Amino acid sequence: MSKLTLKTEGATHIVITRRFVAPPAAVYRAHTDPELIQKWLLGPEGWTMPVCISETKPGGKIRYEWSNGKGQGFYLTGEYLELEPFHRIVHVERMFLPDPTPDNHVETRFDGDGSGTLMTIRMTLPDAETCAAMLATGMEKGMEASYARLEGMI
Amino acid sequence: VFQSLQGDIQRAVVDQKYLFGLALNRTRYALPMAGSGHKRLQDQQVQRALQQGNVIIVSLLGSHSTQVFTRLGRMSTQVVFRINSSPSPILPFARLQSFARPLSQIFCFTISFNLYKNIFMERGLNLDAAFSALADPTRRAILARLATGEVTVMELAKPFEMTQPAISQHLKVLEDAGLVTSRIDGTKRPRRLAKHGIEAMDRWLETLRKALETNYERLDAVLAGMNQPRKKGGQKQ
Repeated sequence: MSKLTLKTEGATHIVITRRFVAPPAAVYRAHTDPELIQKWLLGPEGWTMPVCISETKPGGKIRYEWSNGKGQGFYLTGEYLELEPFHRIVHVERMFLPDPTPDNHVETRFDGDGSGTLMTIRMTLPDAETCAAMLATGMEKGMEASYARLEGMI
Repeated sequence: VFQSLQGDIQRAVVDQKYLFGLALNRTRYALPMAGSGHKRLQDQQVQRALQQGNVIIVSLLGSHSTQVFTRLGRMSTQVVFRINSSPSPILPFARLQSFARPLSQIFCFTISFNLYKNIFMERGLNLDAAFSALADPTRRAILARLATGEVTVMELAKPFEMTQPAISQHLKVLEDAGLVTSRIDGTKRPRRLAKHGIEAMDRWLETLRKALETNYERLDAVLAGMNQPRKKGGQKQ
């Protein structure tokens, strides 16, 4: 059974939760430290993240670039708004596919859960239509890169 | 899985390098395209084809062709597939990664075989409409009520303190989205959940969950590595 939940909240929010068997500090670091992000936020086999900028301070830039090594790629940019180390991150992001998607306002919380972590991502989209589209598309970061993974399911 | 489609593709290949066009309506309209992938597509030509059928376009992510369809997509009903793979005429469908269907703007979709089936084999469900229908709290409440069984409009209207016409309006949105269905019982038209539509949405959400989960499983491995700083050679997926 998947440990991940994906739900809508009202017309413009998407809430994702996932449990990890590591303490909040570790999960937080894995979401903010570029070297760690590059290890997992990749999507399918064969894709890498050659560029990962994560300036962990309010106003700091986020830029993730994915590549399949065959000339295909796409990127995401964003800005950190709030950072409460090991507990909470607030940022905005947009994907370039190549046109930018509407800004996605994302609050990520890392709450202690026994010896592990309950992560809660709450996305806020500008309007109901964008939110519906987001759900129908799965443009959550890394999702685009995960497309090829679906090949395995196809 | 895509064998049946491939038959169509082979008949409908119009640009072996970068683009495939085929129609999934009964007339199997093959989209005419100009030249090879590097040449500009004729907007008018494409638009004419789009008006004639439900056309699927396959093109490379970010290519000029995709941009043309993106632009045209805003005014038409076609479904655009984007692929991201080698330009082999057969491979791209096997490597189909996402598609976009236009509303007021173009959206990228993850595609799975399930979704493919939802859209093309079990027509009548519009995921965009379904998710949009759910964006309203009254309609979600109506669905919740219907989840307990068949209900007439009158019975539905009661707990919501809404007029019957108002409820009927919401029901129409849900019916158009393929989430609610009705039958005729004398003068009544009791409504119930459309199992097919609800299940299709559920399958779609499950597909999203799985795609997300892929990354998080990788993160699990990273976190495990952080706990035990000794380096693992060659991580297996």
